[in-house]
Amino acid sequence: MIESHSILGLTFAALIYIVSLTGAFTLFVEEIAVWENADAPMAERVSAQAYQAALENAYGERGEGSDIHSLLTFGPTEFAPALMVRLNETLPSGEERHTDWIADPRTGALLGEADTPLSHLIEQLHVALHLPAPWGRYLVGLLGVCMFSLVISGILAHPTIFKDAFKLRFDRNRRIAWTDLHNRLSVWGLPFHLVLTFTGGFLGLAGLIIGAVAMLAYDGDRERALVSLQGPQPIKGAQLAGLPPVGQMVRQIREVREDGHPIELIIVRDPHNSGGITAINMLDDSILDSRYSLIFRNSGAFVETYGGEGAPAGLRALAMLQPLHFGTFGGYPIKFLYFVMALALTWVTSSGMKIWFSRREQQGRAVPRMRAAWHGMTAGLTLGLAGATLASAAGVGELVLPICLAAWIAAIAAFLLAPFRWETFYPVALIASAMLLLGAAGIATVTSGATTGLPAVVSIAVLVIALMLAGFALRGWRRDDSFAHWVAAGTQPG
Amino acid sequence: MFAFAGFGAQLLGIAAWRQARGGHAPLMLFWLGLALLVASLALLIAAFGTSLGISWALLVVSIAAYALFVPRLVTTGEIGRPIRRTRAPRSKAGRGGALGLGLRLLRAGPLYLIAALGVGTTCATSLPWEEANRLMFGGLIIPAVWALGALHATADLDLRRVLAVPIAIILVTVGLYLL
Repeated sequence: MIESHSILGLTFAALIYIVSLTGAFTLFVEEIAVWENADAPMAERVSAQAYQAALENAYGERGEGSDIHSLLTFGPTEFAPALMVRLNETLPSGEERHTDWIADPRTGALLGEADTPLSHLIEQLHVALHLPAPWGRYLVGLLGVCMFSLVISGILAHPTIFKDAFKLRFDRNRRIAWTDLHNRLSVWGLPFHLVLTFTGGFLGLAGLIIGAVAMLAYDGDRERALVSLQGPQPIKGAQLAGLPPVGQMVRQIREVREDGHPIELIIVRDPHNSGGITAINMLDDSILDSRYSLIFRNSGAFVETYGGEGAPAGLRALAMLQPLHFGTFGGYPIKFLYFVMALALTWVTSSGMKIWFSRREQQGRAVPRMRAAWHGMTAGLTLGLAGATLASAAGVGELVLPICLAAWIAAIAAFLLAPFRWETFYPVALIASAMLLLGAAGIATVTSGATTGLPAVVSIAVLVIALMLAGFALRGWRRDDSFAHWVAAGTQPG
Repeated sequence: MFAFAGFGAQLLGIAAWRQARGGHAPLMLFWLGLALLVASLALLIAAFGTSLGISWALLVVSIAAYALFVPRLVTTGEIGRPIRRTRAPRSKAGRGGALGLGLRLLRAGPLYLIAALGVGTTCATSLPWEEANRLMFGGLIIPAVWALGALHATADLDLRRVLAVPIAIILVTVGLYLL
């Protein structure tokens, strides 16, 4: 069983590490998006007229002769107290275009295109490893399944799981010490790891699963499968002269329903078609599935409430997957606990590799280049993300991805060129990352107006991460004499 | 109020288990720890409702346990001592070498994926439940079946069995679908 754990772990370790680390930061992509648009006006609630105006203003920005698939409004929510509008269209050239704007929550006026390169990069790395759709998502789904399998094989390979529940032998050799740490982090995080990997596997493979179920259960009729899984779908109706009366729908909801649940998302599909669907997603923080949809035809007729309390168990289970995976069901306390657990999962992956390197060393079959590549990959990802954060703060969003990739590749190359110096390079990479993040927090505060509210909190968080990275680096330097000599002599160690 | 009491009970329950492992009245402390953890679950359900309470409890128990050993991690100078060569590598003959590994990964990946899709869609179409429930169950079971299949493909020493089991599952599910 331990060999099964090793085979799957070693095969996918690097990808699992990337998905785990970026997953920790994906928990805060909404906040990061607000930080990247620090001048966006904040609000807790948007009026019905403002929703209608925001959608109409976005509609007015459509390309000439384009085919509009959907219009969406996001927020304001607890995690992103701003209003954003998105237009999804196909241009006459056949190009798919998705445009996001920041809107004024009081009037619905568009204040400019939303600039979210960093949050997009982090989210894309987590959900698709920044690979093209749908393959990236499928690969991440495969990683979720693989991690779920790793968790189970880890349990089965550990017959003294309860006996050893508190064993930490840091004073023994590195293999034993890292094995204890790996096992303690894994065993005590077990419920979280099972839930996270299972939901991640399903969410990544959802397209494939729905396709397979549709093919067999509905003779290939994907639309019918979607009706069962996602509620009413657009039907052919009369052509509408303007946009659907979304403001009227919002007013109707607020007048009839007295639960005070906030609107999280409005989706207008097939907006010119009166048989199209407008779904208004409401947040209900008293249940784990967290959200339900009030579904209207685009003509304004109410169709049904989909999901939430009273819905079939299967639908509620499906709706629980997102909140359980992204930790959105209990406000900021749950988000912070998820962040800690996601970092722990990242460390479980990293410690698993350290065990393997130690085992090889103990067997007289050390793999210095592979170890250097591994550490270059982990340090490089940190450096790349820090560089991307600085680029985003400096307003050069188009450079976010190139900078991230360049720093990452450069780090791997540097570590590989001097494989026996990785313990020296690692703190250098961490210090460089810390300095980039300090620069990002400074620039965001000075130039972007991230001095109050949520953007200021994110700047402080960036600062704290920078200080923590510097702390880890200093701790590494204290252990590494060669680096101390290098600093003292002002030269690079040979 | 219930929530804070629940978190406190979890911390105390984990601490009791750690003391039990330390050798002080182990049986009594084990049961005390278990009772505190059960009580914490009840308190968190009272505070947040059933599904949210269980989610909180499972998450906080991990954090409570981490809180007990992370201080040692922070204060330790170095994790482990330098390693010396003491063990000979184990034979890999039983695993079929590189070819065996390739075959295992092939079976753990595409073959067991097809088997898992077969099991899931069979459940989605055949279970005597309400449509939404059997569709969801069928869909949700696919990653779990694939994960268990990947585990089998990489753990079973008999390569023929590693091939036979997913093929048998595929044949059975196709047969059930055609019936």
